[in-house]
Amino acid sequence: MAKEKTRIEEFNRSMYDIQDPDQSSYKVDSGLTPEVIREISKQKQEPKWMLEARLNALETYHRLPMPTWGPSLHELNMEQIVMYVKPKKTGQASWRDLPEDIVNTFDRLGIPEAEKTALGGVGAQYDSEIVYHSIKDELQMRGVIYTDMDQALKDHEEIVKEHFMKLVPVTDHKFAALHGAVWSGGSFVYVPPGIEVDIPLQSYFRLNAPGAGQFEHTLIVVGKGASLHFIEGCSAPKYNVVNLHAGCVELFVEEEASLRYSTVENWSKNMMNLNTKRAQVKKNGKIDWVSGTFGSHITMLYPSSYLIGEGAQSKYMGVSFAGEGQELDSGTKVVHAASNTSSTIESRSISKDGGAAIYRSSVVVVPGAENCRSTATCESLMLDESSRSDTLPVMDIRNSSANVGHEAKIGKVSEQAIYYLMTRGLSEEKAKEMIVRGFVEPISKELPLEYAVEMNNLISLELEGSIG
Amino acid sequence: MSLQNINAIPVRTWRWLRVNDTSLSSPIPAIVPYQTAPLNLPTGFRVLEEKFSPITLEKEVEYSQFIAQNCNHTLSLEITPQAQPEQPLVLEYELSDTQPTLVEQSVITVRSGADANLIISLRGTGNNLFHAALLKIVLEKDARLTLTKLQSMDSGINLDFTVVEQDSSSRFEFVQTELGANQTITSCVSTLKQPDAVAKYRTLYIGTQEQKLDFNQSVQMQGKNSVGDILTSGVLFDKAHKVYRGTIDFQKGSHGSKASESESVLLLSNQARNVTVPLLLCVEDDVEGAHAGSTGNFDESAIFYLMTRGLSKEQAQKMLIQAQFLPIVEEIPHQATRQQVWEQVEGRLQSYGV
Repeated sequence: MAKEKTRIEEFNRSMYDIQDPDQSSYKVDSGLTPEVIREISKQKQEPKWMLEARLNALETYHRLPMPTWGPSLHELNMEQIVMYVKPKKTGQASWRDLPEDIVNTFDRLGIPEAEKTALGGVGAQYDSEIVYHSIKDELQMRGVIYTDMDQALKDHEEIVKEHFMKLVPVTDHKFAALHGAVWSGGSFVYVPPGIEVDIPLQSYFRLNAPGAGQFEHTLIVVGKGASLHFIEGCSAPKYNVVNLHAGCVELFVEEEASLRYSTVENWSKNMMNLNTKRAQVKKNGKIDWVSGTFGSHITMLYPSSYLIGEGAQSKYMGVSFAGEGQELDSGTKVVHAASNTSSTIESRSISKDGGAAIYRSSVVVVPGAENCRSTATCESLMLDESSRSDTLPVMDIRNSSANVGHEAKIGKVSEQAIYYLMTRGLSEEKAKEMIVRGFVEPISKELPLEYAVEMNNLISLELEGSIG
Repeated sequence: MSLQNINAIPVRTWRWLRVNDTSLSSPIPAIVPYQTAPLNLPTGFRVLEEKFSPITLEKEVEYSQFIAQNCNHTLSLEITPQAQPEQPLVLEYELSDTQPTLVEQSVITVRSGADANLIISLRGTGNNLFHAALLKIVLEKDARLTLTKLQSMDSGINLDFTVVEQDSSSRFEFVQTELGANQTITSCVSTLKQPDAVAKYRTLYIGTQEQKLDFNQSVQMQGKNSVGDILTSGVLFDKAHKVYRGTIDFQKGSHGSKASESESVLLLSNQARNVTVPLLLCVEDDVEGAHAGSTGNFDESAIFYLMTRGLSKEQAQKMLIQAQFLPIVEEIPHQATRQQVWEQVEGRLQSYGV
């Protein structure tokens, strides 16, 4: 009798796929022209330098080629993407002041509830603008700033100008240039030196309009000796047209500071997710990336750490789940640009039903960076023969005192492991469930609690057959 | 004349890493005739006299065209079941000021049931030395071949591409030593087309001065229950620059296959540069694949321990390098050749006080 494969159910997207009627107050014309850029800047009443930066970025965008590696982006037609969709109301400090459909959307996503019980502040973006922002009084009194980027550009212009697109210059790649031209929304966080923010701040990005792009910019500065946990969530309903997400995250971790940046990405399967995230870490600073990638049609996402101060550390933990119609190309980059820096990378991926999970990374140790350490572990689980899993790491080491190691595995669940657990009294079904949950556990335990619960719900096993 | 963008990686990655392919860093000298010595063929080896058809590589068109247009030596060999593994065929090529260039194309067909050893040795002393090779090996059902390639040119350019097609239950073992040349670009790609085939690679290298070494090794599994096993080990001094691309590729049909790949590098200079690209590609679920890579300096605790046993620091370092190379050298099935390799390694290490 042919063996049946153990099924991993498709993620339950019903909550995310509810579409609100398109009641935006303003939309630019689709396409990418200087007129579109000027109109976006005018809507936001920006300083002149920001408009000039946008136009420069647009020029760079048109000059740079498309990537010659990675997933094919042939379905992306920039002339059909609407770059800016303004919701009816923006920048509110109370959920009551927002339109009902927007409130209902975020309610379904659990954001207001989480705000009450577990968060120090919330930013909620709907299409191209932040619609709601809050921060607990006690954090504000300690000097923590958590606001939307438009407000930050008005209230803290010098800090924004000093840091904006300095870690991710517009020349970095074509979609960084696109972001520089059409960015809108996003969050600004400043944590003063010595302040420990012991409850997380969260921003949630919801893209509702069909055929639109979301280009939020997140800028975080964690002062000397300070600490912060920032959570980012995102989703969109599914349409038959392509949506584009080309956001940008720039994180500045000062000396002795620490920042944990957790993301759960659950875009719909018509979404092209071409996000850029980068952290700069100074002396004895620390960055933790926790990344769950479950949605989108195509993802190209590589949170990067530049360790520029002695003793700086980076930790990356990523889990991805590629199902039907998905190509998730994700990973990380680390540059050891100072002595005694260290990095760890841990990645898990599952691919099924024709999905493709690609792990792509680079670890570079520059000349002069003494005694650097880096270890990377990457494991892939393939659940059927129609899927794909590729591991593409690169290590470029230019200092003889570095100690760098990498290991990766691919395969199916061991039948021996199942047998062993059954000898300990578990049923076959429970044994399989335990093994698959255990496979992702090192990463899923790092996710914020409510997302970890969803992660476990992701894995529901039919109780027949064998894995692999 | 030059060759650009050759030795390409199977799946491209970020351009700024400059590992997707490589190019020659110096021009190719004019190719002049090369006179080979008469062959001394052991039992089971036969030269085929039919007209030689140029080898075409689908993914390295420019290189195969270059070889076809500039070839000054061809060889077509057949190995039959009469061959004895204890009696290897040894092909020795020597470049010098009077014969500085060798561009060769060879085809070796190993017949069903044959089990043979082939050793190809390339040396060179002189100026403007240039070697380019394209070797195609066809292993029929149940055929076994151990191919040992030794390169120790004093200077010049060495290009060496090997492609292998394997039928069911065939076994290909490849041992490669790269101990010379200013620039080496080498490739070995085995396609295990049918079930139960085995491909095993062992490679060692030493990079010194401003040497550039560029490797591209790939085991492509298409038949079920295939086995791939890649082990590479190297030492880098001075301003040597090495790029190693090692690919395990589980293609459609490779159910039940297993493969592993491992590279360890001793980086002994702050001006040397080590780039490692271990790829693991998979479109089948019922497989087991693993790769590992490590880069570092000598293990200080191991050095200390050996010194407590009476060795000097230099002796201890030499012992550790030999230990790293041992799993590779011991795969050479010919005692005299193993000795030759150890002598070449010792010669390269001497000037570094190791």
